[in-house]
This record gives sequence, structure tokens and C-alpha cells, in this order.
Amino acid sequence: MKSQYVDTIKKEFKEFVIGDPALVNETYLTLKKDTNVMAYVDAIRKEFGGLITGEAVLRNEVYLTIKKEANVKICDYLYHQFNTPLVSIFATDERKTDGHFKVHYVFSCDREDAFIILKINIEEKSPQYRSITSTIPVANWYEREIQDMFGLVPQGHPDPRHLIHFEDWETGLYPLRKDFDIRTKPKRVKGEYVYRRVDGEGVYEIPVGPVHAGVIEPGHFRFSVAGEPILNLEIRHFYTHKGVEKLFENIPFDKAVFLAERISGDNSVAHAVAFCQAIEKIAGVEIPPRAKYIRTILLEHERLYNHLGDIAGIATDVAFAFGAAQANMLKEDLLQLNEYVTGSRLLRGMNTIGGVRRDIGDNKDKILLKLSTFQQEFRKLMELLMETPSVVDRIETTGRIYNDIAKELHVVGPAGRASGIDRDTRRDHPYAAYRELNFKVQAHKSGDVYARTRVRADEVHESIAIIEQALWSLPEGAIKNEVKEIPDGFALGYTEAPRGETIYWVRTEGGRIERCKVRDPSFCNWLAIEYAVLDNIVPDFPIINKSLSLSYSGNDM
Amino acid sequence: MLEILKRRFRTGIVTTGYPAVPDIAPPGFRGKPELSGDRCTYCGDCVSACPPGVISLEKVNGEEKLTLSYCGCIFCGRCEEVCPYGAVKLTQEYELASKTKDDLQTIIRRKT
Amino acid sequence: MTVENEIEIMGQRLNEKINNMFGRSLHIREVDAGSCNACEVEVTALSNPIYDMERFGVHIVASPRHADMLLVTGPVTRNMELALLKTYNATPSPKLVAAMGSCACNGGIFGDTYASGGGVDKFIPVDVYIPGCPPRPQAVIFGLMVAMDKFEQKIRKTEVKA
Repeated sequence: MKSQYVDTIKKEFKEFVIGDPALVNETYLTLKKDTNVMAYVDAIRKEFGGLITGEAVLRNEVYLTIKKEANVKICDYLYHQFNTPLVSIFATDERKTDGHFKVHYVFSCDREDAFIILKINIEEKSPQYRSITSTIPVANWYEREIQDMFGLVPQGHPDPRHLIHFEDWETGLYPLRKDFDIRTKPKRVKGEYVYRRVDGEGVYEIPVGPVHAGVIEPGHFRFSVAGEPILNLEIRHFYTHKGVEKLFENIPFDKAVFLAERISGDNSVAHAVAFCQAIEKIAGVEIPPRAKYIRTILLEHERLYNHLGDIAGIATDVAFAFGAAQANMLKEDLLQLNEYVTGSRLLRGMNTIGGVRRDIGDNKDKILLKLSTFQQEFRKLMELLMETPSVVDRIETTGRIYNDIAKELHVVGPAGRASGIDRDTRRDHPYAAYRELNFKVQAHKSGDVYARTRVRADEVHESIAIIEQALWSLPEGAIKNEVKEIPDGFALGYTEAPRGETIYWVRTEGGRIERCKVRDPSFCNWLAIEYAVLDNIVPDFPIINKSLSLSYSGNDM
Repeated sequence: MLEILKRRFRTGIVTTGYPAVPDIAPPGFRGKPELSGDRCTYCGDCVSACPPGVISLEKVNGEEKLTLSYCGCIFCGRCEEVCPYGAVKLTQEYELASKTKDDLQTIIRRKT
Repeated sequence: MTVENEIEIMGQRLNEKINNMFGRSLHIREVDAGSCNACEVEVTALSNPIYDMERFGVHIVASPRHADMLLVTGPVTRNMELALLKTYNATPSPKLVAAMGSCACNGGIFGDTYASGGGVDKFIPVDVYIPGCPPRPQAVIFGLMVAMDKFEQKIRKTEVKA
């Protein structure tokens, strides 16, 4: 009976099935036939009718207000029954309007291009709610983040230590509460941060960071090792926490775009586009078709140079200097092309609310020419890398993330796709011009450094194809629609950054930003590194780190 | 190995001659913003548009003074975009390194 | 005098200075004090075959204890403040500090908030400021040359009366 189901699913819903079809149950199948997100909502209503206190459907976002006590049950149901990944959790301070803090759980219904957002109200008097981390491990860092920034305590959280604030942070100060002034300089107090300990004969610790030996961002890694193999890795981040989310609430919309560009420097376009899309959704503005295409081209340009940088980094870390030099040269070519086309090597200052600031149509021939020579060179580079035994030997089976762990931790982007998670925001929630362009999502299964390198290499070719298509079918017309007034409202903005799914949730009020939650892909992927390095040797850590391509700044904000 | 050698020879020398050979930034490059005292009307549009807030307008002793500091400037070009009189222009100049903060500013002023 | 001659003379003068101060080369430790990683992209680019910093005897070293210069990026976040000070103290004198990028110069768009310190010079003395968001690799090379007194800085305070 079960195999029949599997066959039907395989045949009919091939493009929809995520992960192993054998795990798909009957409910899933019936839902498949009705490709409408409301079917999900109906199922929740049927199951938990009395616990839902409010509903709102806005565009492709369904907001369900549920009773505070029911959060674990309903999240669990939605997450495990329907296979909807939990893509973000964030809190808002709405004490001014209805006296409550709110915690939002955002689930992505990839097959329906929709999001279900569960909302719970939390009273100021008892700032507590039940933690969902033990049933949905993805929630771990989100809940600790909320605890630090809002002072809402997740009860039953397995690891209630500080996440963003360090041990010298004064208790009782929560930066994202509305009564906290951004200019406050809290005094430093005495405190201690306790690391997990691994005891045993011959086990010792290697602390690394925050100032590293290479040119990378600051973060602390604590390895517990016995000889060379790593027994445990604990990461401690948030050294680069710059208070970006609070800053968003204190600057006007047009400036906020530039701030979004600077959350994770090498993912500037992805962040800026995600932010602009959220605001455009709130304002109900459709950007001109030409602007959509230009954004797509910029996003793919960004992916190209990022992937090249990662491949160069992997080549450096396996001590294949020649390959690294060649890859770095190709990356530099791309950066110079970026500078020529947009005036900024990292493609900054191109996006604005309502469209783009600069037309790139005149440079079509130059881009096409550059990319075609680039592609030839890149193909040769990859042949060289993948045929050099000293490279392949180091990257095969290194830093493996198995599919089940990747799913459990919600690993996104190329790292996720290398572990068999066939998700890509460009296809699942199309934005900009991706709906009109043809491309294939590249997925591999083995989940090691090799697979991650392969996914990136394949994506480079896809990106080139996307840019070529977009340039050939670049529509005529304006590049910007004037957005005069931005009404009160809230919306999600999302893009597939080179590192993976980037999610913004923006709420506007009275012509300014009331809350802006940013979820950088690295925020999800950092947790995976603690698993990826287990049983690997210390010298392989840099390769694993590079292959996951993690941003510290995007994570810490 | 042979392949590596072959590629190595084909690549040749790629290193730039900079700084011995001057390197001019491409035409659309967003470099050092320059103020034009003749065109500026001291309206303050650029002051409110500047994301890092490095442009300031002061009125002291019957004098208006517009200061632009390159220290902290993010070269976004918003000032150029909002100026109705074309008094701010981003140039291709990028060699802005300075030993003092004081040198990193440009000031225009006029009597009111 | 041709440009080449001029450069040669300048080069000699610089060599003298470097020789006096640091021997023949300059060893740099890059410290990210909370940057958005764009500056790191450009610092990495400095060691690629195109810009190849090593041709000036400039190396990026692994420890501040081997360094003559700290290249600091980012606005100095609250959480990085202590690490930056420790790194500075670990660097042997004589030492130089370069503030790279707009955030390092005065906080840039992140400004001065509960989490961001608003510029490197509030915490440690800075010898050279390299504005740019991020500065092009050429601008960084120029900045390093200015720090080493190899080149004269080009920018001067301008004041125009209309």
C-alpha cells in the first residue's frame, strides 16, 4: 500500500517532493492535490479549532494568532505533519498598541509559495512562554536571541545561556524593547560564560579566536580534542553585533536600504532586495519589469563572485596554491566587471525602494563577452581542481552533514542542497524575474565538502545561464517606480542569497520602520558546523568552515 | 602537473602596475564626492539624505557653512541624487587615505 | 624629470624610511572589529595575483606579536572592544594602526550606538584613515603607502568661500 503511494507521488508530484518520498504520509498526498495553502490552515483549524483566536491572510502570508499555551503543539503539528520548514522566529514589542509582546513563528510552505505565521501574545507581567526547541531544534538560537533582545524567557529551553550579549552585559536591559534608547551605553558588569566541557583521558581544549590567524571575521571556537580528531566544538559568536535591528527602527526607509546592504557585505544585493521587496509589498507597489530583470542580474552576479571566492578559499585551505591563485584571478575579474557595470565592486548602491538606481542595459555586450570567457576559464579551473588527487582526497567525505541532521537544523543554501535538501527560494518563492527564467536547482546527496564544492560549481553555470537569459530578454521601460507613501503594514521579503535563504520581516507604522527582523542564512548554518566537524581532524576545520561559507556579520548583526 | 605548467605559462603576468602606473577607476565609479560652492543653495537636502550623516550645515554669525566629511562617507551617491542644483558630484577619485581626520573634509561657506 | 624617475626617487626615499623603521618589510595583522565583511573581501583581494601585496614586502601575518601594523576594519563593536585592545597591546612597538573603511573611520552607517563604538580612534590611536565602503584594493595599497610615508597623502582639507 505504502509503495503505491510512493509511486504515485513520485510520478505526479515529482517536483514537489522534498526529501525521501517513503516518509510521505496520506495527509500529505491529499494536500498535494489541493495546491492551496488554505488546506493547511483548514487542517490546523480542524485539529486545534478552539486554540486559534485570530486569522488574517495578506498576500501569500497567513497569520494565525494562537493561544500562548498551544505554541508547542501547533508548531509541532505544522512542522512535522506538513513538512513545512521553520524559517524564522522573532518577537515584537507591541505594548503600546495592545499591551503585549508577540512572538511569531514563520513556516514556509514551499510547494504553495506561501508562509504560515503563528503568533502568540505574551503579557508584560509574565514574560515567559514555552520553548519549542526540544521538539524543533531549529528554534534554539532564535529563542535565545529573543531572550536577550526582548527579555522573553523560553521555559524549558535546554541551553538558556546568553547568546548575543556577553557576560559583561547588565541584566534587565533589552535592546529591542521600545523603551530602550539606542544611544544607551550600558556599563560593563562582572560575569562568566560557561563553556560545555568534555572530560576524559587525553582530552584537551583548543580555544581559537576571536582574532584569527587568517583574514576572516571574529568569532570564538572551542575544540575539545583527543589527539587530532575533534570530539566536540562549541562556537561562540556575536562579536560583531552592531545593533542593526534596533538601528532600522531609527532611520528612514531610504537610508535603511543602505543599512541592509551592510548587514553582510558580500551578500549586499540579496539583503537589499529582500528589504526592498518587503517594503514594496507593504506599499502595494509593483516594480517595473526592467527593474526586476536588473535585480535578477545583480543577484546572480553576486552569487558568481561569492561562489568563486568560496572555491578559492577551499583551494587555499587544502594548500593547492595554484588553483587558489587561478580562482582568485577569476573572482577579481568578476569584481572588476561589477565595478565597471555598477560603480561598486560589491554591487552596492544599486537597489532602492521601487526599483533600481542605475541601468545596466548599455553594458549588455560587455557582460556577455566577459561571462563567456569566464565560463571557459572556470570550466578548466574546475577540471583542474577535481582532477588533482591532493584536492579531492582532502575534500571527499570531509565535514559530512547527513540529510536528517541538515533537515533538523534547517541548513539552507548550497550547504543544504549538498545534503540533499532540495530547496531554493528562487524556485519555491519566486521573486524578481525568476518566475520567467529557466534554471535548474542543483542538489547533491553526499553532504561533504566535495558535494558543497560541486553544488557551487554547478550553480556558477546556472547563474551564467540566468544572466544571459535575463540580458537577452531585458524588457524596455523605466527602472524605478516612485514610492511616495508607505502605509502602515507588515510583510515578508525573501531572497536566495549566495549563502541561502534570506528572510526579512518588516512592520511599518507612521511612515517609519517599527520592527525589522533579518534572518541571514548563516544564522541557520552556523549550528550545522558543530556537527559537521565531529570526528574530523582539526586541520580540516578551515576547509569545512569555508565550504559552509558562513558570514559572521550576517549572523551577529 | 603538465597541465599546471601549461596554464602557468599561458597566464603570464597579471599583476597590476599600481601604484607605479596610475589606475583610473571606471567612469561610473562612486568615489570622492565634491561640492560646488557656486551651485549650492544651502537648502540642506543632502544633509537629511546622507545615510551616515557626514554632511552638516551650520549657520553661525551670518554665515552658512556646509561641511562634508569623507571620514564615514559610504559613497552611496544619495547626495548627488537628491541635489536639485547639481552641486554635489561623485568623482572617480579614490586615493583618499589621510593621516588626519581634519584633512578628510571639504567645506563651502557663504554670507547670508 | 620623467614620471619613472620620480617614482624611482620616491621609491628610494620610501625604502630608506622602511629600512629605518621596520627593516625591509611591513607585517600586517588584520583585525575585524565588527565590519560587515566587505573590507575582508578587499583585504583578501590584496593577496591575489592581481594586486599581490607581497611585491612591496607587505605580508599579512597570523599573530599581532609578529606585526608592525594593525589594519582595523569595522566600527569597534562593544563585544570586540576588549579583543581589539588586547591585540593592540600584544603588538610590539613601534607600531602603526590603519583604520580601513568608513565604519573604522567614524562608525559609518552604524554610528555610535549601544553595540557599535563609532570608530577605531575612540579606542586606540590611528595613524592612517582609509575611507571607502569598502575601499578598492588600490585605495588600500595607497593607504598603506601613506602610512609608511612612501607616498604623500593627496587629500587636503579644502575650504571654499562662495
